[in-house]
Amino acid sequence: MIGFVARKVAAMLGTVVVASVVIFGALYLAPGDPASILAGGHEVTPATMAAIRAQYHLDEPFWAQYWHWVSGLLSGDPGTSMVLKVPVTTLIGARIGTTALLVAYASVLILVLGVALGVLAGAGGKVVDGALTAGTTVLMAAPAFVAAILLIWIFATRLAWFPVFGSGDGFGDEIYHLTLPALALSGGYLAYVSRITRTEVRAELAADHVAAARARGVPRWAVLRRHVLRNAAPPILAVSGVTVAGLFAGTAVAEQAFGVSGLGSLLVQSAARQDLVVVQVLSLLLVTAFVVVNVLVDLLNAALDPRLVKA
Amino acid sequence: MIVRRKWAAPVLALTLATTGCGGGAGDKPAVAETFELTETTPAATGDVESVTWALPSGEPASLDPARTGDYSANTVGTNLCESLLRLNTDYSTSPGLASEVTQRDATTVVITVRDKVTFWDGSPLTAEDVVYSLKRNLDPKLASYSAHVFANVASIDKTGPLEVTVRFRTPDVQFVPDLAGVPGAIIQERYATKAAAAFGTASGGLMCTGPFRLGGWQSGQKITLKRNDNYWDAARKARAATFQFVFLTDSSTLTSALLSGEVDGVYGAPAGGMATLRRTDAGKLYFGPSTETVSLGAVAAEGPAADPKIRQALDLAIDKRSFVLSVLKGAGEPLKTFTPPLAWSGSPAKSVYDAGYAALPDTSKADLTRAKQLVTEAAPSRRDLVIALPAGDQSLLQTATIAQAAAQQIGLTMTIKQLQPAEFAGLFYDPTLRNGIDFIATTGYLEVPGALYYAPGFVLPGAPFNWTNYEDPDVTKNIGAAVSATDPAASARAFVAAQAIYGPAKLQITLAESYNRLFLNKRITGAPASFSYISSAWAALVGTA
Repeated sequence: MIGFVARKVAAMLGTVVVASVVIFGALYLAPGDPASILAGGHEVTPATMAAIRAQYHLDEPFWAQYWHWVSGLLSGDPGTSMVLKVPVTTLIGARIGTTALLVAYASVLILVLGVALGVLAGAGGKVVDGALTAGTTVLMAAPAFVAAILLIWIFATRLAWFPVFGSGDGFGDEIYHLTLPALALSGGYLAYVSRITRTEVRAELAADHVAAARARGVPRWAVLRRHVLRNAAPPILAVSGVTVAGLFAGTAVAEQAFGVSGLGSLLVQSAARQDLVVVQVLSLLLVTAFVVVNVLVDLLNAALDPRLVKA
Repeated sequence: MIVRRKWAAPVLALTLATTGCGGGAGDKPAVAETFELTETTPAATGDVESVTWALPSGEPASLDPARTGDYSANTVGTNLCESLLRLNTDYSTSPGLASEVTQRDATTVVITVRDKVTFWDGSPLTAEDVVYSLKRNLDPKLASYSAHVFANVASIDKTGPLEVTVRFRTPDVQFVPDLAGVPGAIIQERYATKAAAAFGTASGGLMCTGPFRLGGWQSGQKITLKRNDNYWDAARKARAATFQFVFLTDSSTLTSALLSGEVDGVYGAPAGGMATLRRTDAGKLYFGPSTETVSLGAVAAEGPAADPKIRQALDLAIDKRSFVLSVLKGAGEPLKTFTPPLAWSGSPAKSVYDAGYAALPDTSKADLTRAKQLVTEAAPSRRDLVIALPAGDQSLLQTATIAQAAAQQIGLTMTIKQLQPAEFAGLFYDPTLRNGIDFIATTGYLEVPGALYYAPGFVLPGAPFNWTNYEDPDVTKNIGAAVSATDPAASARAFVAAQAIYGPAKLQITLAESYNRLFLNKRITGAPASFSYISSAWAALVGTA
């Protein structure tokens, strides 16, 4: 088991290192001179430009710049925003809680509602299945920004049940403010997880051991719990893990649409302003979150099914 | 309420953009959309506890006046840090933190600092603070956004207990009106030196004299202003106890927030939500005169764009009225030159400027026959042009597409090139980045009055924006006379003479002025509707309706 964990963690670190080079390199190669952003897009003298380039090491070769960045990251100082002139740690610190809460909220919706609807569709009658299949098709087809517009129109403007925008103050208010964003964010993923669950439940229901259990007169709910769900769990869990990991990337759209102050909207704004320092750190952070969640899911699966460790 | 101009669009079926947030925005009968322009909204009748205002351009990067020069930062910052002069809704100026600013001669400006003004901390405003605030714009390390305003300044000195004298290397009468904007904003020297690089940021804060003080700035969330109870001007004391700015860049979310009343007001209300906002009973959408323009700028010293005939042909090929209808949804009007009339509407020599503007040829209607003829006469060495714009700007993309279609009609091919913001910003100081580009699609505005705000930078030899190497001895002579004349009428006459020559040369193909769009919830009023908000402590006027 220890070897398995070590292998997974090593692979994770390798992925993050490669991602850091790719992210830094992509932005290094991006068209345009970052110094012009630092100068605020206004007329400046060549001397001012030279001073800006020297201050931000923009005049040094690629690997030297990369080393400045990585050593800064490792020492806990990812730099200062080029546009806002505020430490990146301050910017992230002020927003990470909101994004974590939004991802957690959406994850709960996906896992609870997605699995429940999938089981219902798989084990329920034809009518239930048809209705849920139709519903999930719509959900899967609607991108988050369209869902956001619809949710705002129905639940914020028309019914006035929820606020149109903002992040809220205090836990209860935050949950209240994040409900619509979490729904917009989870919609497509929820449908996906419920589809997978439905397929797995169907497959298990058709299996011989389930037929045998039924024939023995085991109650319907007990069959579902003991035989169907237990066997269907690993694939559902694997899919859910990837889905939840993917939420980190999806927050950009949901946060932007609902004016939620989180890491996703910070990424969108920083990208629009070409605030490279912030974009680099956030991109790496999102990649890391994705990889870490995936590793955690692998470990959880391994714990459920020890055969995976040997593989 | 002052109604200044009225303009009815031709009878046309307008395609009204649905905002997606509903309200049944859809087809409307083909009626003439009229836009009643107003400079101000009805005065507030009482104080209000709190106002929530949206910033559609997002969170300001800084509130330090040296780093203020865009919509968001100006909308917030001008309520905090006041300037030496005040900008009025008609773009005239009146005394602000300076009780008097005198253009003593062509190269000397004397500023009398107002007595008994205090900063938010209670300490008095001094001549030293004024010298410090103006001088920091000269510091290359600070790279102030206003540095260009101070380009001709030789010295800034305290010359009396409350007197500051500015001397110039070359005459520049535009300097005085510039003091009505951010370049003339005054900050406290002691606070600014102590805060150093953090000055004006969310953590560093500010120390100024305005009707509001900075109450709080939650990075990413909101900026809160609190009323300054010891404000020096009793007549302009803030009506709102708190004024809260939220950052809403998504236009559909912003429209919904205005409809639901979660946000009380916004400058630059989303064009896509205009139809819905005009109909709602939650509040009122006002249109005001503006200095905001949309233009195509010639940026190449060689090739077709450097040929005035090609520029004139392109200008004639574009129908400005349809441009206004399709891109500005009718809320604007064609312009004849790059300096919009609001720039001089508060000047004592207004009539001279107006007559000069009226005499310029009107090219708002397309004339393809004449345009094609001009292309033939010009016989350009190549017929394929490139137009660049900042990526992601939908209305500029639409503008470039219209230019492309117009070019095609007169036998020119135009390729649209979208540039990343850093690349586009780079065009303005690095000539090599302009290689291979003939035109740029761009928007601009004047945050201060003055006919001489744009012209010297665009038409004089070697000027920062004279990218086509335009040179005309009469223009150079007259602009020179205009920037050195201390008599407003003499300056206006010289300017108008220059404009009569460079205007038709179309260094900028100016398409239109875009009206200022202000939405106010029905519970509040008082905000100026003209674009003058960009440089004035406008929020102080907002109170109960």
